[in-house]
Amino acid sequence: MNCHQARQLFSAYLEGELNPKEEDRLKAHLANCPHCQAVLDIMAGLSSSIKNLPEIEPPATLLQQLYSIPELALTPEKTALEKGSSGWKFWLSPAFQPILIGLTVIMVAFSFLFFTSPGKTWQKEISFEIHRGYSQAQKILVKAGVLTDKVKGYQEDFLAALEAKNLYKSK
Amino acid sequence: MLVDLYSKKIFNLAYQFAGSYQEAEDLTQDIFLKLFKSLNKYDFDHDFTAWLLTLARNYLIDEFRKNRWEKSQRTELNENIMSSDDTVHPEAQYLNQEKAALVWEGLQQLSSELRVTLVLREIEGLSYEEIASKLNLPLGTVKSRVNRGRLQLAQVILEKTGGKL
Repeated sequence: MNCHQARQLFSAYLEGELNPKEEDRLKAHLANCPHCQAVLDIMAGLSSSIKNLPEIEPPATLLQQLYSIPELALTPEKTALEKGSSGWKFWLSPAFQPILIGLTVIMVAFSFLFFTSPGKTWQKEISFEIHRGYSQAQKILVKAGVLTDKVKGYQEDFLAALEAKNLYKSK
Repeated sequence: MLVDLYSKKIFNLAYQFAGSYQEAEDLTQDIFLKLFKSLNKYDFDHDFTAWLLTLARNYLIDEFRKNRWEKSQRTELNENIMSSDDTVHPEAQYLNQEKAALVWEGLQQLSSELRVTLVLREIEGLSYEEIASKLNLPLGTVKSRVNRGRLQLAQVILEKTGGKL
């Protein structure tokens, strides 16, 4: 056993965890190695030395800061939800409503200015949008009518098939 | 008051873990802030000191796992910041302080991994299994770190004293 191998076993030896064979080999090494024996002797006293390290006084400035912590910690903090809801309340408060109305009017005016095609007046633009919406609604209605007819057709075919097999009688 | 009763204990615990005076101040503040915010979770059937020390220890372990506390941040223990015990004879007190300073110096020279493992084992008195669980390390690694920490500490002291501790 060399010094490196012996030192790997020191803690286990001090804590009584070595098996008898390992312990004998370690003791044989220690008997011939005063340096390892000296290290082991110091290690044996370390636990109590570390446990008995004197306590250090915390600095006065730290104590002052610690005394102020309870107020800091106990100040009720607003939750994210509360913060969010109070924000919304502010925007919806009655005092803010005239400003909201004003902003809405300005935004509508800007939308006409920026989204109106060049060369068209805003009256034409409105008329165009209304007609486009009307024609789209008409198309949807026509499609709905076609779909209803198709469903009715399928229903009649199905009933006829049932009648043919004597599973159903129409009135 | 909690600060009067526990600040010294918590500060020392933080100092032993971090090895830096400044770091220990910051950690102590963090622990007290956490303590005041967690007071409503304290179960009155349990020992308050044990509960607080567990809270502090767990916080320090978490911080260690996050920050590792590099060697450059550390400070040395000196007589000015070490409290004196008036009941001990001045000569014995001097020897105790000298011995403590040596042990402290040795602890400071360890890597933070070795020091924290050694503090948990020697000062906090945790079992190897408990340390492995808290630091999320294999049991063999913990045992090896404790042995290496003790060896390095013993060698530092041996060099300084010639074996007379």
